[in-house]
Amino acid sequence: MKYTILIFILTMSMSLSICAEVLRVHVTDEGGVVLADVPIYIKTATSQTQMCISDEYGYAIFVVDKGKCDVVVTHLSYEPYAQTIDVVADCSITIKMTEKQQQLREVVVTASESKKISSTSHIGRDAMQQLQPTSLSDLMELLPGGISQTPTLTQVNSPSLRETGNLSALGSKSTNSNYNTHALGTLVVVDGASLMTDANMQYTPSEEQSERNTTNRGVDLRSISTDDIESVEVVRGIPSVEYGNLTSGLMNIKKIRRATPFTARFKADGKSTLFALGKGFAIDSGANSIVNINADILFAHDDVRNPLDNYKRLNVSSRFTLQSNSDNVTYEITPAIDYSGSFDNSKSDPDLNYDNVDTYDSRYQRFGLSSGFVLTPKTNGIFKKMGANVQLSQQFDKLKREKLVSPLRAAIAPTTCDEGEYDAYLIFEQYLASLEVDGKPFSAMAKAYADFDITSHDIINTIKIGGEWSIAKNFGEGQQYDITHPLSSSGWGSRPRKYSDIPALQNLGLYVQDNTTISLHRSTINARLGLRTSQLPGLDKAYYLSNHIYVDPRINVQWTLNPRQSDGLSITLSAGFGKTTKMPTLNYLYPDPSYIDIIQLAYYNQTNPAELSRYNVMSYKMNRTNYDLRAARNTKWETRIDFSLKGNRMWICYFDERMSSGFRYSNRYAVFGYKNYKVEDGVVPTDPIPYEMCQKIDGYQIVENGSKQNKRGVEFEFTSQRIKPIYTAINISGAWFRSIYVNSRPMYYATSGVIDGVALSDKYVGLYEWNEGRENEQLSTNMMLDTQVPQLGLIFSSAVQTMWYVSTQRMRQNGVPVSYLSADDGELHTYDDAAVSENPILSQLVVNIAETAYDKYTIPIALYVNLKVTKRIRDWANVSMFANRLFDYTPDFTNNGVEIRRNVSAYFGMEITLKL
Amino acid sequence: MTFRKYIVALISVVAASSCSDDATELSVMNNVDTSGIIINADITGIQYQSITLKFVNLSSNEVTEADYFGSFDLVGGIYDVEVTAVASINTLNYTFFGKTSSVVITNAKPQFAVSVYARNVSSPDFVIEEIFFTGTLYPTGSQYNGDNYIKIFNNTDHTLYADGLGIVESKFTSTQKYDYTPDIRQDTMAVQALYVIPGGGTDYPVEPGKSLIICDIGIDHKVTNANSFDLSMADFEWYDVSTVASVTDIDGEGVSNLDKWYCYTASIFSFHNRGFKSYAIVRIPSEVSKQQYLNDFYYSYTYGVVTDYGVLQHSNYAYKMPNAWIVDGVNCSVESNRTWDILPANIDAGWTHCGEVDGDKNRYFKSVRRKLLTTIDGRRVLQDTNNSSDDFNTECIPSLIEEQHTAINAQGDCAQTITIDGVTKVDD
Repeated sequence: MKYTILIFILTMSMSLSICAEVLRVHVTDEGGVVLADVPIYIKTATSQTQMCISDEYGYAIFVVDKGKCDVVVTHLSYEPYAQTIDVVADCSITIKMTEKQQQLREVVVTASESKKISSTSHIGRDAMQQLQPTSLSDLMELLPGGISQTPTLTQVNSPSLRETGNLSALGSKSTNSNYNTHALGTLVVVDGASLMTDANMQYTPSEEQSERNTTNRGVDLRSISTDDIESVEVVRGIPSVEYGNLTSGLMNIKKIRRATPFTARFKADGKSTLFALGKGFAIDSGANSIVNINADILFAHDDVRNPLDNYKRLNVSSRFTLQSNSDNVTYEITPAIDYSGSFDNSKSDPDLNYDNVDTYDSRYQRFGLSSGFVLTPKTNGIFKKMGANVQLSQQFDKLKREKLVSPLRAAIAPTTCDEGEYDAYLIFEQYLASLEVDGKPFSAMAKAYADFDITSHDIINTIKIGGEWSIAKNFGEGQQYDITHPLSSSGWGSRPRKYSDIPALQNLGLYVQDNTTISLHRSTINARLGLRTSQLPGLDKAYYLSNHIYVDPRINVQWTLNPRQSDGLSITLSAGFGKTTKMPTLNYLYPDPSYIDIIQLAYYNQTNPAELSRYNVMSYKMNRTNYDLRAARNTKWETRIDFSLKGNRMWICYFDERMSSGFRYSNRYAVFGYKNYKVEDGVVPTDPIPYEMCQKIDGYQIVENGSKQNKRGVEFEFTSQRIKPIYTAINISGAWFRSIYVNSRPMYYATSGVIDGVALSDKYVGLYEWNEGRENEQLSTNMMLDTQVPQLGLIFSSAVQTMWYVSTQRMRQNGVPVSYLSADDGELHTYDDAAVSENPILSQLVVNIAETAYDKYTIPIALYVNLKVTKRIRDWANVSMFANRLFDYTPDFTNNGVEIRRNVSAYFGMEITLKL
Repeated sequence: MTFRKYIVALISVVAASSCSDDATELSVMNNVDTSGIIINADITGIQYQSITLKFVNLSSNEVTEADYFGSFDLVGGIYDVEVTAVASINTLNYTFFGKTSSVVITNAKPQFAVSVYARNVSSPDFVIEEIFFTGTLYPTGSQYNGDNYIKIFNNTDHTLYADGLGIVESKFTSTQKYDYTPDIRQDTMAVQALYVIPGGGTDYPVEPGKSLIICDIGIDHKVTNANSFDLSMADFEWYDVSTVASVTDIDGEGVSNLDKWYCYTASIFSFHNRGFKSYAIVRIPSEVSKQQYLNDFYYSYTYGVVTDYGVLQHSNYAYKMPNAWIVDGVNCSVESNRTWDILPANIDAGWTHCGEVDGDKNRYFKSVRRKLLTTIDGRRVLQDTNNSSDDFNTECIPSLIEEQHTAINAQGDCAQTITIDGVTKVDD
């Protein structure tokens, strides 16, 4: 503006002296958007070259002599403009600049560590484009310690933060339902509303296809597509108290809410094909109202040769964003409606199997309705902001299982779901068993918060107060099947159960947080203190949790030296401590009852087996509810140092998380009485049949806070500035994790053995105070060379991913029981030398573990090279491809005299994104 | 190509010439020195007249017969070695026989030992006539195994009493060979199931040339599986009393139950349905009671298993069955997975099978049946040379299926002809 005024004065003075004309130049781009700060050169035959820079409205004014006049406009991002005009009088011209083709801005292709107070990885749209993900679980590779994985879309992909995961004795990943709590306790938040999985109960009685069972395992990351995601923030450290009902961390997803061109993405790789469409419409010119619509469909299979084992996904999302201004406030309303469908299928090929039916079909369909609301006053007062989120979601889950059951020999099946004595159904032939699990998890949540600003001279103080309430309920019919024709001819132990009989689960959390920033001379101190309560209102009084309120304190402190200095060294020190609490799910609070079924009479009639045979059973229905169940609580602390110098950055973080109240199903044993009916051979038993009363030990499982999952480790990252001559930036990130997975309470264990034709465990069961678990370690780094040549529209990233070692070691396990349960009296007795000398059979309760089982198993270095290339073709297409593990270095190694060779297969894929 | 493959390729090019030396060592070895082959008869003062070695190459099935005292050539490899020795003890000549499995021979002076035993010269007794361990299939192709049975045959010319005769299944598996400590295999069989025929001594007579049918479940199995057959006329069944509803056994009405002395599982016993175990009939001396046996013949052992994470020490237990008590025994295995013979050569110098490979889908509806040697006055005499490779017909249609003309495959095709031993037809 200054220039304009100056030129105006100049023009006025000159027009007085010489007879000159005023030339107004207006610069816009092709779309009519004004271009500010563009230099414009004017040269006439009589005068020297004049230069003027366009103002914020795109205007520049020149005073020129009449006659021919050359106009030249140059700008880095636009094609140069040059034209000669004839000036006869005061005039104005509009110059439309053409954007330079084939130019990319520089993008961030890694997860960037945010400078926030708690350890947080930020994954943006550009990183996702370069990674070419199929689902949210692929993004986990970008976190410190992450290594690319070949997708396993026919299994549940549970979140896993800062841990090695449960490992087998050979160091390979394995799922163990005893150690699910951190996966369950990783919160996934989409546009302010958390995805709730507490009412999911889609499993079969015999735990078939358990790798596809999401119950108690948190959000299944493979069901979330990435095409409508703007950014994901993964809070690995201590999250703000705004987020609760979690143990491990938080994945905060922000969906795209802006005008975007129509985009079509087609991706194909070795195991899946994906097709996604999306567009963001600006409804009004000011882009205050935007509608985003996305849809994507995925087909995946685990083995190309077996199309009958597959996974399909369909997501449709439409989002409306309305921003509005009034005189005093601005507000934003963000309603959304989502549909998400996951379809797991598996069946055996009937052509290969004598029409042997064996099918598994699990559908998960979720309809979600949500909205956010944020109100910000324009006035500068104490009240700074308030917001609210509501969400309703209804799932329609259906698991269908059909199987031809062929008993290896005649078997029996229950005829009632009640406790008591009854005659069982004798299964004489094979039958087609069908099972349907109908789940209709419903959830609703509402949260509201308000921010207040109490700022004095150099202390910024923000206080956040809020609360969150949610309800989860399953309206489904539950497991439905004919109990006399179960999925397995040995299918005792469970009976159908209606999920809609299970009460609703409410969670209530209230929080208050103070965020203080103190600016000192060359540094700032930022402290965030928060408290969050967790409780389960409306829970039956019999539960411990019904009247218990957990309070989670969370504290983060950060000191930054030279916060605003762009050239000099900037150092940030951060530390945090916090407790996080995850409440049990519906399944943990209201587990299915367990049945103990004891045969009392077994009589088979040769002449008329169907009519005269009799198998009498005593069934005990065991309530497995643990009224003393507590919440799972994790204690986290971390400390971090972060250096920045001239665009280079390095940080290192040490963390320690301890949780010994993880959920698991634990064995319980008790003594059960039954009648042993005496049948004479060849005589049809007629009532009253003589019997003697007997008792035996039998077992079932209850839910307990019996799992310890401790996580410790170091995360680090180095990012260089871009080295201009080779267009390349270097990023090295990595992590060392030590994770412990072990029981935290004494365990009952039934030792095998037969004494006098009777199982040892029918008579005695030991209680062991041992550590049945493993201690795992891994060190991995990911060095990424990211080469971006904007002139060629090319992004080329090569990653050297190294798992330096993975080790696992069984923890010392004391196989001597502390006490034992005896079938004689049903009591627990102390186990000691005296007891053994009195009853030598008890010596068989000692569990012997081979000394070699405690040896540490270490897998040495495995190095992989992954390549990813994106080429932009003008404005309308991006072509990308990736090749994971294109090169590898996995040397043979020897363990205990055995040479182990490793085979690695590469994984390829490519995609094209069209923008119209 | 990975880095590692480059390296492997490089090394293989460099090492190509040196490899050829190793290759010649594993090819033909001339003039094999037999001084490292120890023939162990456990008898003092034995003088061998002749020793014949029979090498069976496990990879090529090539057979090399050689004179222990002569000169012969052999190709390097893994061999089963059979030894037939004629020796004189106190001026009388005896034939000894022995066998060892999976010997690795890589040089011209192989070192291994073979225990040899005098051929069974005991008087004829009960023999195992037939074992049906594979089970049948439902019309849909699913397995059904409640119809296992074993036939015990009186191979003498006089009536024998089956009272007290036991049926055992070996603890060890012919497809997995470990070094068991303590090693008792020379004179003892480790058993995991022992069911004994009841009776006071003369309750269960078996006439010459007749047999007893001992089965898992003595019912008409066609009630459950149309492709199975009737076992309700069986003489005995092993019945496992269970109180667990998910595990039921059926007590066939009218079929006597064997006395269960010991079984490794508290649930249901059935024969190893892929046929990896050895079976025997035993006669436990009458002075050894069940309780005494269970107390005194307990066998606890350890063995190392080579796994991906090294040699893991395992411990396990079984019961000991002295070879002297074994009346007859049969080794079973499959060609593709067999690593050793569980019973010593004086009980069974060979092995028999149903199926060629592990989990062979063609094994169902088939049994192993002892060959007919001759017929004396209408009485069958079965061949018993204590070598089941010779004595048994393999993969036969089971005798009960033949007699009842029931299904011989999942499709339900019925057995037409009746044979005496699976091969020899009955002439009417």
